[in-house]
Amino acid sequence: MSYSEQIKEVIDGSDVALFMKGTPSFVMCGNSDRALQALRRAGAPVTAVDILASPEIRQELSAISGWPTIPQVFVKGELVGGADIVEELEQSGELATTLREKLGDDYAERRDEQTVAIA
Amino acid sequence: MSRLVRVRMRGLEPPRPYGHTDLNRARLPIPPHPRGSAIVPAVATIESVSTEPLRTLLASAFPDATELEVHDRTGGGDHFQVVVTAPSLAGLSLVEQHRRVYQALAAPLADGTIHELRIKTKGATT
Repeated sequence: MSYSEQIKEVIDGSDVALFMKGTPSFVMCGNSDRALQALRRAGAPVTAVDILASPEIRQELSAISGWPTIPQVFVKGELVGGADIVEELEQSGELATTLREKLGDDYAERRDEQTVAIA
Repeated sequence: MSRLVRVRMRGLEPPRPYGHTDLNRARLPIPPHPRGSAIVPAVATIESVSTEPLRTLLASAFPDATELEVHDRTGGGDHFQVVVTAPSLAGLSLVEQHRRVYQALAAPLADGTIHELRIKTKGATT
């Protein structure tokens, strides 16, 4: 499967997809960490992808999303934004509202963090 | 008398904070650094060198902006925080608002001038 197909599969197949530099257990960038921490505070079930695994992942991802920077957060296939937006939405409480609307009221109980490798 | 006023009190004999060494800094022909207010505008000028081009790009993309700030977060000229408040952003999602900023700054983002960009946008002043 091509990078682009794998990326689309993660975006469309995950409740919350986080494309980041590094992994949740070893974050390689401050902004990726800001997004991850905001998602954790909201109790989001995060599926993380390390874009540093290959430079092509980042290229393909930005081509798909039309978003130039990393991190990128998707909820049910829809781009929510980068670190600034996710942090802002978490602080205002809108992130939790969006997660409830799209994932159901019990989304926080399913909170499991997983990392998916794209190669 | 007026000529004397122009010579700084310490002249070419500044103190020797590094002691007396072979390359004696106290003897280097560099006048003492001007103190006080002169330093502040010098620093501000350095910051505006990196932020002014971005401000210009944003101003032409958001001619209706009521607030337009560009801040060099680290002083290194590549980590920026921008704040844009413009009525033309009202009603757009945050994703769309940030996209407009990315579009306005596409050139410096593409050529690597901007290494990191933090964005804060508002549709209208609250």
